[in-house]
Amino acid sequence: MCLNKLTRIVLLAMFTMCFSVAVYAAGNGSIVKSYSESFIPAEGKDAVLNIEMKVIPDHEGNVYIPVNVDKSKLAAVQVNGKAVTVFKDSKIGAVPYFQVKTGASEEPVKVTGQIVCPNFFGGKKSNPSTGIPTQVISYQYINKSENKIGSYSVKITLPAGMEPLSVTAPKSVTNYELGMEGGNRTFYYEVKKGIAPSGSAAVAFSYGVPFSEQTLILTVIWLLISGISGVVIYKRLGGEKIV
Amino acid sequence: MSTVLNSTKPAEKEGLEKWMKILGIPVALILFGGLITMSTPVGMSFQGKAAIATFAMALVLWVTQAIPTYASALLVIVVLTLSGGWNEAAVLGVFGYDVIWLMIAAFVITSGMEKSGFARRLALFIVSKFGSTAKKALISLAVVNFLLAVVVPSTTARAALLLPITLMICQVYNAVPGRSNFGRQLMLQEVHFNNISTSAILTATAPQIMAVGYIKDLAGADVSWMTWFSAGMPIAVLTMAASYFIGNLLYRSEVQRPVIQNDSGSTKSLAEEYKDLGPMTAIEKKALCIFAFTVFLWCTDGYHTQMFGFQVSLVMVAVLSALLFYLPYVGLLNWKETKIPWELMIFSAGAYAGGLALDQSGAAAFLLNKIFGSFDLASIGTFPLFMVVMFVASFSHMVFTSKVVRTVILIPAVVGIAMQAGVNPIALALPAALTICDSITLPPHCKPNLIFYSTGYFSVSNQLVYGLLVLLAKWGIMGVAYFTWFRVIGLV
Repeated sequence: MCLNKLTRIVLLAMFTMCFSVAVYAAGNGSIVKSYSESFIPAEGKDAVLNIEMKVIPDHEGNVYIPVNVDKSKLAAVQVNGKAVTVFKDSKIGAVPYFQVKTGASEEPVKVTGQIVCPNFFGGKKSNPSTGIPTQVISYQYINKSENKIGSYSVKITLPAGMEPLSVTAPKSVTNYELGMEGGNRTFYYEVKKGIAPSGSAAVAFSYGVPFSEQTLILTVIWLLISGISGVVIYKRLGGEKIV
Repeated sequence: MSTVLNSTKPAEKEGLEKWMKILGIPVALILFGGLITMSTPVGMSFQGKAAIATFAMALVLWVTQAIPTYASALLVIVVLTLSGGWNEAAVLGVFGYDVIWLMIAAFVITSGMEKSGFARRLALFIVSKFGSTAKKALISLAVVNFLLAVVVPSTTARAALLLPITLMICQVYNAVPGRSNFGRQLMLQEVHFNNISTSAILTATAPQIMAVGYIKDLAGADVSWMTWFSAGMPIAVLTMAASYFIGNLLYRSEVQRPVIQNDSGSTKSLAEEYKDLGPMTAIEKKALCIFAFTVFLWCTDGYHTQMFGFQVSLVMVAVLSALLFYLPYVGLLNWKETKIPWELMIFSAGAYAGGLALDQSGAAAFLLNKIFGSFDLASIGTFPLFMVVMFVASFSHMVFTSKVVRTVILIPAVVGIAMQAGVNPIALALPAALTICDSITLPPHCKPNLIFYSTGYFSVSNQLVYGLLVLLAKWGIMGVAYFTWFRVIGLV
């Protein structure tokens, strides 16, 4: 059988890719069944990210928690409700993880953890050409493992007094929920069908204290409404021809 | 088409209309202020609240006519962007939406048809054959809408297609925009007939096909074309009849027969007028060819790829047709002869932006879910449940601009309620799906509404009152059908 040059290149590339996947898989063999994240406000503009994952550790008993927020630090971790002290920052290729030694091997465990995320609520500002500048949260979870994640959810609890102003991702209004917990507004997004390897779940919304909660602006709004209404009624009742 | 742009000296308002003008601005502002300054309901974003406040304010201004509609549309654009109801790029982008281009192209086509004289010939032919009286003209247009719904699978294309013909029929009847009850009734019935006839034919608009998909996926029930037709056709026919009778009550036509005058001022018959047109001129033949080509492309929408290897959207068909009217040798029109009511284009863009903001911000979905969630619907009994669901399904169009978004939210919710109540899901979901095209109460609710509103023959309040009454009649017809026709066909 005679293979042309292009076919040979494609076959060689496929052969090479098979090996690269095998090496990657050997590094992170844990399989995540479900993964949920919940950001809650902490001191200043920081947040604490509470994670909960149902996962089968790799053959060495390791579980890998992805690092999705810059400069975040794993503060504490529990496996099946018991605190674990053996964890470290690690990298598989260029992908950063928190590596946790569970003590279990290739049997499902429930891992919970608390991750400190500095300046999570101090992100970039939207600067619209018309309208009010607001803070924006743009968060994306990327499945960097080689296995599909069974289900994924993220909840973001906003600091007291703040509320979601406009949501840009996910696009469909049926895909997210806005709620309230303990007096704080929340944003919740769930991907029930799971996330494939290299797939992602993104949320993006602006938030802040709306102008309608600010006394000075409220006063100005009602003064304007009263003034304009008074003038219109006076003019139109006062003999102005109404056509 | 000159009738659209006729300017007549407005008379001073009296009674209710006068008070609406006096109180319109204060009521609109207070409503806006009250909504925007209230605490944002849990489950809704601030954007949603701002969109509702802006739309409510605009609705009061449109209905009361306290400021000109084009000014209220500009106000919507400014307030939406300043209050956070929608971002500037999105709001301004509405002027580039397909519906605006479709309207511009439709008016170019209408201008070309009018200039050539072909539109008048066609209108005289239709009126002399089928619409020799005002009532016959209205009934024949209902029949035309039904027939077109079978062959043209788009409500918007059908509206654009009938626009030049309806305008010329108005001209034959000497109907002056804003004053003539005949013109008002004809254009509003076009809105109703266009939408309601669609509800009888499953394939007449895409969201209905989508609803059938949901019913199959969520309830496991197959709804065939014939099942839909047998359930929807009697409801549509009776609703159109109700629309006709309500229209006659509300806006009794001031003319019974077209009055045609010759140059010396004496009247003559339609047949004489039609005969006086003589044989078709070359310019009329050009207009006929372009119009026939346009209709052909709209009718064959689903087969373009097989025929040409590429698809032409309905709006691009209209733009192509407008282009042909302007081209040398082929066309017959220049820009100065084109009559586009720009103030109504501005209104359409602003009103559509206000409606779209409700969809995009999630406000419409929030309101619908709130209504369904507020009652313990599962425990109220089957018939009351049916009536409540039909009412909400039909009138929910008032907060949705997009039929697709409404279908996505409405049908799964109705299937869920039916399952919770232990009712056969299809018994609620299919009748609810028959209300998807009930978008007849306000101009921004769907594209055909905007197209016919742009003729200037009716006001927002005319459409609102007439539309609400017709939908109430349809609701009643559905209630009667629950005990009669729906049982005969085994739906309930």
